[in-house]
Amino acid sequence: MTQPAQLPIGPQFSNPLLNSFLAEPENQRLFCQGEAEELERRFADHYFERRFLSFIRKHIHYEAQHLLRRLRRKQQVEPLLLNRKVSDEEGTGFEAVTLLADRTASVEERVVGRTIDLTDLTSNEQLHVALQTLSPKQQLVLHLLFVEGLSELEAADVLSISQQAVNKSKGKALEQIRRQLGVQAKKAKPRQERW
Amino acid sequence: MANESLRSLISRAKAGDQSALNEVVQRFRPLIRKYVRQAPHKDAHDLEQELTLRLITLVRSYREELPYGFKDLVEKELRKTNS
Repeated sequence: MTQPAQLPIGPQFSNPLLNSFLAEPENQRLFCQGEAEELERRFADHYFERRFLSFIRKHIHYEAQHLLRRLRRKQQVEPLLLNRKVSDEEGTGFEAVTLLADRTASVEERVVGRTIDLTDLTSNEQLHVALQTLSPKQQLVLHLLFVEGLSELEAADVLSISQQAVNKSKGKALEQIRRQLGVQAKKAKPRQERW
Repeated sequence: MANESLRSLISRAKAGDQSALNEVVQRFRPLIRKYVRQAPHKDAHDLEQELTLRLITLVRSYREELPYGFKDLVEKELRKTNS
């Protein structure tokens, strides 16, 4: 039986595919013995493998680059804003998400926990005085609307009155303030005159 | 067969053999993982899925025929050296 090592080195072809195929001692042996059929079968395996691998590598590479580019772009456009550290002088290192308003706290809790008084908000003396002449209910309405930033509907909920009542109270209060400040009230809104 | 040639494996996979297709996916997993590692952690899984899907489509659409055989190539080479 012939030892592969004793085989003559096959002719060096310029074709790299042939060379890589014949680098395999078993293929050299078959080549020298003229085993045409087996050679063709083995060559087809070898050739197919090289072709297929380069085909898959090329396409997967292209697809991966395409997808990775898209991911990077997405990363830039939609960064996780809320998980970014809030930078401040103290360097508290809070994530932005922890600073979001807690919507689970009820409107009542927010109102009860209020610390800002409506009349403390202005440095305008006249306005300060004018605010104090309002009835407690009017003050409360203005507080809810302008300090707490509630909508009329939300304020109505808190006070257990209708939204229309809130609107009316607001209108009256503002009108009263304007009068005290000497601001000529704008032509009364026709809508309010209907009431 | 432990060392089945890629050619017969792909041919079986194309014919609809599920286990052959699984084997192909396993063989190419390292290639796919190479790219998956470059993705942000939260997207890694999605990328792996997409690339695996792409691999399967590629296998199914691959044309198996080879443009020439061993004899053709050797003859071509001999003509080249003789002339």
